[in-house]
Amino acid sequence: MKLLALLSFLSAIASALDVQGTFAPSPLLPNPSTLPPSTSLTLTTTGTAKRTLIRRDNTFSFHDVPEGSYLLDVQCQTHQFAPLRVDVNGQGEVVVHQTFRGNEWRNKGEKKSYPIEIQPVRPIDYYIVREGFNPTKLLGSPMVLIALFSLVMIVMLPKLMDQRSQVDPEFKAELEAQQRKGGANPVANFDVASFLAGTSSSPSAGGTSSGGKGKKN
Amino acid sequence: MRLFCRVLTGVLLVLPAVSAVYKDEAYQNDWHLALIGASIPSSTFFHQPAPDAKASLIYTLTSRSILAAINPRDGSIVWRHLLGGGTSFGVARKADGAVIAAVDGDVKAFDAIDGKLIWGMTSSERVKDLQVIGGSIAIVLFENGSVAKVSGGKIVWESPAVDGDIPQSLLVQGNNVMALYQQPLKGLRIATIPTETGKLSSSSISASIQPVDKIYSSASVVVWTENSLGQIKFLVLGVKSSAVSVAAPERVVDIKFQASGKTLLVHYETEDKSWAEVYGVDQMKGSVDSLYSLGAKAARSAFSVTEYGSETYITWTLPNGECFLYGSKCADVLDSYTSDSQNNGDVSVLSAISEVIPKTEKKYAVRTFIATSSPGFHANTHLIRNGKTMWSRPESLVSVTTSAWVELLDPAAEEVAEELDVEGHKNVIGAYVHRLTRHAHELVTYGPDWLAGIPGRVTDAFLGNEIREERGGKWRDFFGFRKYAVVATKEGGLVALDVGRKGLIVWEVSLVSGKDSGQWQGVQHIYEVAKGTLGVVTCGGEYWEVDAFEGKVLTKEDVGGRVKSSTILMRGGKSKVIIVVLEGDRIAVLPPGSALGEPAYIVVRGDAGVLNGLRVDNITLTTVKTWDFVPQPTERIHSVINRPVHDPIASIGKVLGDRSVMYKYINKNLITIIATDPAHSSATIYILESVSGVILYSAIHAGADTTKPITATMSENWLVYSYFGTEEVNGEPGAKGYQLVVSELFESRSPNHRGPLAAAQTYSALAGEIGRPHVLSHSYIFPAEISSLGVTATKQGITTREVLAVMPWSSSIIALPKRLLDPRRPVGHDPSEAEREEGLMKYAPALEIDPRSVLNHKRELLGITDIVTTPAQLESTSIIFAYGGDLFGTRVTPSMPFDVLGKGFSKIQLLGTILALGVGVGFVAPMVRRKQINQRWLTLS
Repeated sequence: MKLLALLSFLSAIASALDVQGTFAPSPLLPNPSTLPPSTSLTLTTTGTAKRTLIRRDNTFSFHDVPEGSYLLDVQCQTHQFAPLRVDVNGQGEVVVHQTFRGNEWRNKGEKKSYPIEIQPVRPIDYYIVREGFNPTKLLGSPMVLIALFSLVMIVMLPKLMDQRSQVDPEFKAELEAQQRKGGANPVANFDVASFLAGTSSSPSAGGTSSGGKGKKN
Repeated sequence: MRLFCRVLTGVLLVLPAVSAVYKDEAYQNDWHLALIGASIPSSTFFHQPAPDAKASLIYTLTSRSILAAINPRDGSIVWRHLLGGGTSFGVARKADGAVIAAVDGDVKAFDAIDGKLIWGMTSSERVKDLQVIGGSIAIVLFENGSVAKVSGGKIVWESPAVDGDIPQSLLVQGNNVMALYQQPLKGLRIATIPTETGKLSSSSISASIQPVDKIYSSASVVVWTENSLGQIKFLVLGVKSSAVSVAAPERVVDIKFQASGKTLLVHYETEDKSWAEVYGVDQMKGSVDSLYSLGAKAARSAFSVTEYGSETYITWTLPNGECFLYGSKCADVLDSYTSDSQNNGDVSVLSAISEVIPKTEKKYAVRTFIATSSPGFHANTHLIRNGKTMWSRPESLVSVTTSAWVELLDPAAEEVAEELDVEGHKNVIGAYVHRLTRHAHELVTYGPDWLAGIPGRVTDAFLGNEIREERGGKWRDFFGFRKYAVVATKEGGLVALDVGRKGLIVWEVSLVSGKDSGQWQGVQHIYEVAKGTLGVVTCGGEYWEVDAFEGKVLTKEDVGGRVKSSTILMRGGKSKVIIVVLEGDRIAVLPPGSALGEPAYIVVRGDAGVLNGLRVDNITLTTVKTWDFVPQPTERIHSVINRPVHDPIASIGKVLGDRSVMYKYINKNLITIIATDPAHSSATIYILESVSGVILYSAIHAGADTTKPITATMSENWLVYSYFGTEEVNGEPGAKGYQLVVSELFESRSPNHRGPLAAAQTYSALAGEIGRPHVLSHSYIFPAEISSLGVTATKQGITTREVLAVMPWSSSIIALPKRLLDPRRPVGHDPSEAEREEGLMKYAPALEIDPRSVLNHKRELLGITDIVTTPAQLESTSIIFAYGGDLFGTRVTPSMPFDVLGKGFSKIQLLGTILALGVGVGFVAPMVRRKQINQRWLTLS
């Protein structure tokens, strides 16, 4: 009985082998030793799930992995890693492919070298930084730019007009004629009460009423 | 309107990840109690992380297979690793700059400073004992009796086992390693193996060892008891000598041994006393001599033997916290420390380890790390420095099995109500006096102090400081963020945690006493039966009522049999009734004396793996089986899930982009049954109407791995579940990985159509008039294993829900917006105008983990089994509490905090803007006025 158990144990060893790899330095992670000690890897397939931790020398190893096709995931607090497909076949070979979640399993990605070299995809940032008050950002926003532009125009345009009318007497006369015809300021003349009452007021009446107000001041 | 909707949807899509963790709120709103569990005494030690380090750390391996390094200064965890699953046996030993731990068949060496794995080795045999010889080379004794030398993760040599011998322990003496075996009916066998060669030589000793007897070995001596603790025998190793025999005192219930160097301590425990005998081991002569014995003191104490320099010290810690320090030569007390802590008398000290550093003039610095046990609370740990408790860790809370939320009282309404209630029960004069005093009291409360505090409160409000609560305890805060979570430990302790105040322990009470702790079967469920009152139903058949705010036991009743299951029913107004199903499907109604009111329909698990629907008569409490659910012959019921008790539905329909409505199939009696079939590797999901037993929906997932967790959660009209799917399903290729499936129930396939029950004013499930839902499903690939699912709860259910998933491998909890899992996400084409308006994105099979949705952010949560949620007073906010190993609490806002000004709202900035505008207007107004006047006069002229 004991011998039988030993035999089955030996046969398990024969068809199981270690899957090994390293966390290779990359531009995103020049020094993999900075990864937290809790960084772990899982090798999953139907019926089994193996888990191992990153070693101090940035390598990892799964012991006695039986023949099968596995999904290799990395759980890390600081970086995200892409999933890999690891196939352990009967000849004691380990074949590694890139894999894509949500695709059929037989759709293999790019073949990778073995021992596995793992590099992060992106660093993890858990937090959203609340946007505070930032004057430069405020000035950069299009709404503020439009408002500033119109403000500048309001100030600059009359001055431009004045300059031109000084140079060109004809233009000045034309402008004065237009002003006399169209009234001073259509907004200042606007009669809210009559507008709300629905009666259209003549511009001249508006002109006198506002003129009256002006005298009071 | 349409434009507004479009804009709104656009805004919603642009918004950052929902309920994300803000940097300034992390560690403020959330709290975490990192627990490790009960320390294994022989695998707990003080150890210097580096050979030249001044301070040492406490390293411990616990019964939950967590290896942890604890900072003795403040009790914080420096690092920890979960090494195995469940309660498995383990050993941890110190090595140079490392800690070597073995759990089951895994032997791992960790860097003592940061906890990085140095090497690991896996064997198919479980490890029985482990010793370290120089550096980090380990000698391992396996359960089958073989011994192996492991260096750098590789087996150097392996010495085979002898059949029938039970391995006991391993000890190292010089260049030899000795394995101690128990030979059935014969005695002990000591196998000596030189560490260099691995060549075995054995010798046997006859001994009559009974099952209760103890066997202990230190570096120089083997000690064992014979004849059921009747005799103690010592055998010095390495010299030719015979065993020395000592008769054990009478009425001893337990004998423990501890040794360090040449000192051996035998610790005797009787029912009411404990004491120790100290022996010196003479390696040359092979003799063991009694040095001194200590007088008996209180029972259930703990000793520890430590060395410092050439001296050996013995510390004795009593359950009341008193501590005595002895040398190795005589029974004189070197130093004693009285305790300031009050003790309720039922505490026992399970184990102690000490670190003794002699100071000048016979003063000592003694740090003792002890694990204590009291009824209901097992293995809380404390650090005592010279008699003062420096810190305590509530490790007993690692075994929380169930929890209940306690609503706190509303100060605005209930405080006055309480006072008025008092007045109502007094005579006229008494009530008048009471009212006068109440008003006088109010004058004091809102008097000068309160007025003087106004400026402080205003500045606090402006500076966005944390609002200082005026009331604590049972009075809730304004937003209702504070709630108590009352949890029950496996050992029978009841603890209230203030979830809004970083998990502060408010009260604790034990439901067991020291005597009957052996018969304790656990708490079945905790219910809030009335405001401020908890009803606790235990599996053993007891019903306790406990004051939820003070932790006082109000009543204790016998239910009348072992409890199988229980549930709570609302019975008109605020009254609640607990229905308890006892063995034999007998029914009891709690609190005792309450009436059921109307017949109830309940679902219970039958004995033969079936599910039964029962009708409980309201008067006789007799049950009639209304239906039974029998899974397929090869299937068994894995779990049954129902909708949360508090699950309000704000809208009965879902408005589509074209203003038509899909009506939700709403039924509060929906239950989900997960049945698994390990033989065919499949899982079947059934949605049942629990009153009539009608199966509304079923889905079979071939290729589902039944050895991995399959979990589900239900809310409103939808169900979310997860399982591990394999690459080939019935010969069809599939996607390997964890699948997250969402199924949503609607009344009818077509919008604006209410199905067969459209015109019905009322309908009855008993008459079979429940219609059939139209079920939409989507399946997603999720990147991580999910061990438990939960769903957020808000007061009115207006806020969108989030599915909370516990990811055990990455030790975190993620919040997935329900909108992301919508089964109406268009497949194979970009969303149409109308679908975009609904906020639907194109279906993508793979979900990514957005780190900003990880609720625990940088915290690591180990062993979480359950997540419970409860609404806050604010509609936007849901309070979350997770337990099962670590305890974690936080609050989330799935639709952003729309009803409260967040921390991002700066009142100072607002005031500043208003002031700036005012100043601007003050400057510009005269200019404008002058200009208008000028304009008029100039045009007139």
